[in-house]
Amino acid sequence: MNLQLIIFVGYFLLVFGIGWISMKLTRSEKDYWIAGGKLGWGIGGATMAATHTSAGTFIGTIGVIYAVGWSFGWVLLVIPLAYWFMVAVLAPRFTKVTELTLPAFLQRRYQSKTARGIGAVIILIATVVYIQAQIVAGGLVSNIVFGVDPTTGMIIFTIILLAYTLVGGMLAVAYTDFLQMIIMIVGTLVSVPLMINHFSGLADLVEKVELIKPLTFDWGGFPTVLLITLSLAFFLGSVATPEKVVRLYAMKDMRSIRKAMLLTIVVVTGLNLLVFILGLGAMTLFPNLPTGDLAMPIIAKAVLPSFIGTIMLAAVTSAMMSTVDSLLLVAGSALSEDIYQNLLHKNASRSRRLLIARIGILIVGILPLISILSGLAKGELIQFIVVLFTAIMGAGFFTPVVGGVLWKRATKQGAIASMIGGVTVTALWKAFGDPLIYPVLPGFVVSVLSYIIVSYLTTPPDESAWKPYFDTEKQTHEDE
Amino acid sequence: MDKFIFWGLFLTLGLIVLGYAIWMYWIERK
Repeated sequence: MNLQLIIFVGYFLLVFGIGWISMKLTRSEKDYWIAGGKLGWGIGGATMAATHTSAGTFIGTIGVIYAVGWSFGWVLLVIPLAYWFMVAVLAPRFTKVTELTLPAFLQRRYQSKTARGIGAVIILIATVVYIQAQIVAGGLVSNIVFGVDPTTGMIIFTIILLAYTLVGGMLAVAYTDFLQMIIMIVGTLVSVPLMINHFSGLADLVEKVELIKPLTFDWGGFPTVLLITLSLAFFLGSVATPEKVVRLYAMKDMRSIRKAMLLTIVVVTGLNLLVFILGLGAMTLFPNLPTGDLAMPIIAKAVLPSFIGTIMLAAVTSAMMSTVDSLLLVAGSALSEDIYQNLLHKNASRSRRLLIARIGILIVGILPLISILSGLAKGELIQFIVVLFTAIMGAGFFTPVVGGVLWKRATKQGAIASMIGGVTVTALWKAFGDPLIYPVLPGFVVSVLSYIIVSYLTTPPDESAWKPYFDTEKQTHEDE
Repeated sequence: MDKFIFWGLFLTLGLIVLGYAIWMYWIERK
């Protein structure tokens, strides 16, 4: 217990230290939201990988593997493909003009404050839901590590996260993400051999899994239609979610972005594969858990030696924190930049803008907690909440973002129709549609169709709207 | 057990990552 406490307290102190130093280095909004646009490939790739890897991986994915078997693992294929698409197609055009937020891109490309406002509202709603899932995971971990009541754990996590994100902004988030990525890698790399040691090798583990759940290594374990549509959700969500694309702005240049993404895909796919193996282990050692979400905490507690188990739990915590801090940033920026400053209060001074930025973070950090404590967020496996978020973000933003830099004819009405159509259909399908088809598919189809049809029905955009993204010269940012 | 469902995932992922690395190298040299 003492050792666990020391490791966790040390870890949190380190995170606070990084937050504090970052605050000293943060002078402008550009520093606060996109780390001044100066990140190199190492930190850039780490923050991308750590943001991608959430409690969804360590609690959720392992839970799904535990529940439905290995075929779910094939969803992983789309992750490197999505990032490859992002680097090769989106990034070179998207980063021609540096903005602070994704909705700010929508405003510039579509010359529409409404488009920006709608984008910001989608981000706010989806993010708050998603943060809830992560905070719930935090409560689960703290319950197992320290025996504290999950609610207390959730409150403590929120306070810690807010403390460093609020003061240090993107710089703090990027550097803590780097630290958290290292912890995740070390925790998983050490745990997997120890897990395999409980069996006589990987082959034995696989055999035992088959004895217990014969369908684990069979395509029938998880419906293939659902697998394919889930993959689409992962693809769209990896390419165009706001917390990913702002990281393109945060990195120095295309060269850094390309290298960073190699790091990202190696780390993300590697971590996932290793975590899957832990999931298989949990299946055989603890075949009767009430929910798959408990698999990882139980492994850390009961299978691994106390020290390694604690590192593993620190890794889970890191996964969750590195994702939530990034989401707090995009949600905070949506609130303070895209809604408040853009629509209501345009001429604030620099220090006031930074203050508003921090107030925005504070609000979006407390909202999910209130919603959990009031009993609004319960039920589904964490991974499915995570994927629903990805689906809503993907269906809402993929088309206007990628379409905006590839298709000159796209109009603001088209973009607005596609965002509203995509998100609405995704949500409606989730509520009433056929559960075998993941809601992102109908959502995405509607978003693309309404984008194209409405764009053709409305007046073509002015050249000044699309030109910056189709020019060969790099532009500069407006409000340095 | 369908061996491909297990090992095929590792293999395919490895190939994609390798593909990316080669593409990156190629584009940097261009």
